[in-house]
Amino acid sequence: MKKRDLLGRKVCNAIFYSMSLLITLAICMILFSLLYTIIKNGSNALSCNFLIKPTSPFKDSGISNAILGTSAITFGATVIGVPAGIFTGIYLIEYDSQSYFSKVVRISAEALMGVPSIVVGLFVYSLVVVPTGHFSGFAASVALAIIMYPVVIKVTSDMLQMVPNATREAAIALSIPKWRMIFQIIFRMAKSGLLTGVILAIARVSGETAPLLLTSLFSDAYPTGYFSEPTASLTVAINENATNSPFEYMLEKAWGAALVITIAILILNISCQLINKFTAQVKK
Amino acid sequence: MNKFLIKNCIKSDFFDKTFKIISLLSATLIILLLGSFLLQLLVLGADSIKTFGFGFLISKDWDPVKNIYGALPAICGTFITTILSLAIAIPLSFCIAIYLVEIAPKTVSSVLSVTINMLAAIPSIIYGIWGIFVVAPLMQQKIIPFINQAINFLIANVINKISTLCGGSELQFIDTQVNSGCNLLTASLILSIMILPFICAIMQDIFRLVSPLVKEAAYGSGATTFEVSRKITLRSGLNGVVGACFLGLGRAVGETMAVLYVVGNVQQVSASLYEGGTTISATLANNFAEASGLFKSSLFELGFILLVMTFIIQLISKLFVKYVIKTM
Repeated sequence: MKKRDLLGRKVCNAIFYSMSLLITLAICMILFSLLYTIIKNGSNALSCNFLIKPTSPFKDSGISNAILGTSAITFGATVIGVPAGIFTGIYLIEYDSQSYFSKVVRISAEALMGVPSIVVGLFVYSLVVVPTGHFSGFAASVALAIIMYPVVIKVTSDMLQMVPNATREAAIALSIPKWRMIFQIIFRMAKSGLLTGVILAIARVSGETAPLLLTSLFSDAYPTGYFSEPTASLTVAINENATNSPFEYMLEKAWGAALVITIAILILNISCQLINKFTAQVKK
Repeated sequence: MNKFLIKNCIKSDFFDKTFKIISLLSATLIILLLGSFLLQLLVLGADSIKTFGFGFLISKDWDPVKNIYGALPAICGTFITTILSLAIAIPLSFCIAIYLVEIAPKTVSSVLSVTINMLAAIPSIIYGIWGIFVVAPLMQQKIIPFINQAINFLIANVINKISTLCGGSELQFIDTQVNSGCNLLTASLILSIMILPFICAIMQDIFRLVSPLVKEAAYGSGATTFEVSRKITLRSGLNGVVGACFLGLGRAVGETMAVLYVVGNVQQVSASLYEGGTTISATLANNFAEASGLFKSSLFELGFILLVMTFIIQLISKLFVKYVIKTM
């Protein structure tokens, strides 16, 4: 074996130590610089008026319609996407985990997870917007539901997989019907994991922009025409104000909207991580 | 048997059946969805496929006035930004993952990994506006001139000395003027920051799974941390590390909003990273609103190309993990 001197190896190691520490700190600095920029620029716009007035090209505008629009679109996506994903996950684990069909389902879920969000937008444009003849918040919900669907499948099947088989056998021995076994026993055991997984999926899709550009567009009105008219959303509001406007104050609105959506998403994320940590400690 | 019990049994049997059917239907839905994705985009892109044929993939023309479209600038831009961003993100996330798993104390490591996970949660449009208002000016005024100076210095002091020693002619580096911070290099940088937390999170999980016995044996025979992480941790987790890299690749290929803001959106193929460019997803987001007819159809074909690209990436990653790693 080749002999290498100890000093060289130690120097190598020291360089590696300091390099990896520096890189880790640098990436954290990038996050803080990002947050600092958003807070610095966004806090100027933030006021009570900003939160309760709808968007408009004038100076005293707000983002209330965009907040409502994003909530409506995300809620619609959750209603469509989460049950479908959970039922598919149940099918994969509880009913049919070995057959050729379930393998195909698994592979398609994985493939769908990798599909870029803008392609989902294109697909939903051709599926919902073209036949109905108008852009709508509902189309955006469908697009986000398609993005959520495979994520929820993965979360559900991972979580159900972790429930020990002995529990199922015990339930069957008591002759409990299968659907009650799944909902009342297995779901209860997998509760915290399922909950955080679903919340994370919701947080992820609520920050999507690209599919919304092709499906819900933007409007200055409140989202009353969710099924039939273009609907405002926070992310598209950022896009509109940041790119299409000649005025400084509209840019400020964009930063304000960015601050609001970042805070909302980070709160969802951090609360999920706390739930996870807490339940992990309780189990120990 | 008493009547009540029989009734109950029938009722629960009915519920059971409906429950199973609902699950089966929603499982079938995902296969249908995937099939209709391919079909729908192909059908809507058919016009452009008929008009341009295979030339669409290698044509540089992009002229909405004359109605001539080619995908080469978008495909090239996608390849360049993706590969460059992976080249930046993979070594960085390896270092970070090793630091968090092997070196850092437990509390520090858990705080830092939460911080890095937060990077993944931030929506891509936020990266976009941060990129265009903060990073792009910084690139134009500070970083790119610095890189140019460094390359100049290297050429003047090292490469030219070697080439004169060997009897060759002197090289001259042309200091290109940068007219905008929105270019392929900036886009790749932002992209690499966005995919880093995903790669890093998986690497951490994998490195934690490496058997401590093997690591301890290596330490016991006198290896340094660097050697252990390179030769033991990386080697035994290679399977998952490759998977993580492919996941990052899949994300980088389809990323839209962040890239759209900083890539410059110019339909051109250029060898210089300081020039603006475009990617498939940026072209789609930028042009879709005003497109119609053949223009729209060619955008659908671009979408189809992007979809097929992501499928191919997934397929390669599966095959790679299955065959190549096993033989190593």
